Amino acid sequence: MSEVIVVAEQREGKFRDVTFELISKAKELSKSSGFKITGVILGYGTNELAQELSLYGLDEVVSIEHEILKNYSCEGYVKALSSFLREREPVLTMIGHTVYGLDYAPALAAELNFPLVTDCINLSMENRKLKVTRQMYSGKINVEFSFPRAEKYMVTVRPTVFKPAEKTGKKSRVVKVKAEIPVKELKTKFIELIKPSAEEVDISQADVIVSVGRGIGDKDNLPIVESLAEAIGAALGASRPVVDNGWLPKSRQVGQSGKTVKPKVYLAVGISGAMQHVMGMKGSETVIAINKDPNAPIFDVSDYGVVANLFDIVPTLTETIKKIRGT
Amino acid sequence: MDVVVCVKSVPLSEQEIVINEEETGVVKENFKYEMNEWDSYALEEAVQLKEKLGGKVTVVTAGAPNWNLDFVLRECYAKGADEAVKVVDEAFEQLDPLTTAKVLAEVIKKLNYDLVLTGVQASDDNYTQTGVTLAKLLGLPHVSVVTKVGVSQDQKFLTVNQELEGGYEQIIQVSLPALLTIQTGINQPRYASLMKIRAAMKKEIKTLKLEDLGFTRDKLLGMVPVKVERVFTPKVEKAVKFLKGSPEEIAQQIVEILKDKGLIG
Repeated sequence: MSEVIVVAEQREGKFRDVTFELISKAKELSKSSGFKITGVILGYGTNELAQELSLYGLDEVVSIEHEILKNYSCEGYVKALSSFLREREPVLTMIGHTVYGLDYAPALAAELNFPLVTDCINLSMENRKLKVTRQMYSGKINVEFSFPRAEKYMVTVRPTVFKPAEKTGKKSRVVKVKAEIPVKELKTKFIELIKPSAEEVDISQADVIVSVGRGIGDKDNLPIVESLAEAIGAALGASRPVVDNGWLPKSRQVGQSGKTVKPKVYLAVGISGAMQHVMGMKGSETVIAINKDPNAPIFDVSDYGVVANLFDIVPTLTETIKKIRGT
Repeated sequence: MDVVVCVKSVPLSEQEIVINEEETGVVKENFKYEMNEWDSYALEEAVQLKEKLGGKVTVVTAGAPNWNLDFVLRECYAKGADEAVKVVDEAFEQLDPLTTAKVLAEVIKKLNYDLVLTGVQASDDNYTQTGVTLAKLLGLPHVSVVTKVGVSQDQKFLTVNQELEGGYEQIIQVSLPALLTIQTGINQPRYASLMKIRAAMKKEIKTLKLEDLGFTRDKLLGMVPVKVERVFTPKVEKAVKFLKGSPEEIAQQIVEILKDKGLIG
């Protein structure tokens, strides 16, 4: 029977959400094609995780263990997974498009000579022929690809796109494999995991967030947006370019590499809506975006949009709110 | 330390994207090109390493004839690169990351280097794949999404920060030679002075054809493992309502939304 392999992702002994999203998509593909679905965990001392994963309705869970895999190791992952996948010859290997995924999947695919398409937002399979959809130009277009010559495929899948799988109550079998990794040959070494510091502001708890992006143009213009946030009583957030430029601290950054926020209202000011930003704010109840580019992708995830220069709108809005508040 | 930086020429980020009639691609006639944002951070990192440790910075690009490659490479010269190499062919319009990496690998194999830098991704196709694939093809260890680079005293290894999701980072040691994919924000890319821009105009750009690297256009296109089936506009997640009127009228409408949500009195 043909097999789909889902590589689970874990950090500090906890599964990351994308693991369950991959499983649910794998199940959907398997429903029409009758594939066996195997979940793979890499780590060390991962027995509990393997047991947990076995409750999600997979056909098999394989736990690949090695001391070097205790923390993420790209070389370790490529060595362990390439020998496992060579043996199994799955029709499809699914990996999360996370930093780990984008770090090892291209090397793994090149090692195995599997065609790889990254950051997929949809997959479909007919007669063992895979089609995938991914975005280009910062989400402005979708492109569907086929693989004319391939019979085996590897994909990385964008997190938060598919609904996560739920526990089924049925337990699948768990197999332990000891990985053979030539530790002395490795050229990289894990030193330390740094957790986000306990900082003074935690914008992820705010009811309203006013977030500022590249459109602000210069650090000197920030007070315009800060005044608005203050008038509303909102937390001040930012998109990546503002933090990259050092205009606001990392603790303000909303997005994949920063905070995930779900406020009642998210007011995006001068933010174009790059995917990595959208992934951190799309759970907001109501999104209002102000941007001068009518084609900015931020409008695709907004409830209300204002196509205008932020410098024309924001000061007026601040004054209007101040009047209402009587301040 | 000799550093090779791979840069890509990409359409301006504000470029309007129009799908062609056949729904097989986008209309590129009016595209204007610039250096990929991630690559400008990779270049800056390379130039800073050279300024600190000595050595040479070589930039390599591959692209189609109309991608304004000279403009991008001259910008690299003006910002501190010592040599620039371009591979030019129409085929790059259609190559996937694996095939592009195969071409870049052939160029880089012939250069001296201790370190290869690329951006994390290109802003046009967002694959995040070419750099890591290139490392694999060159037989180099790599670290992706790097936000800090430290060099050991003996210059035999690097200690780098890799940015993870949710504010996490991990520190990794990697022996040289190696490849890093560089994340935005790692440094503040410099502006080129007018004098340096002028000097850059006179510098030589080495031009390579596919045949110089042992490829032909047909052979390369035949190596691409994927085929575009269809290009289409994404389904929007929410139906946006555009607020119209004068700034005062728009402000009033936003106030009503905030009131509705119980956020202002």
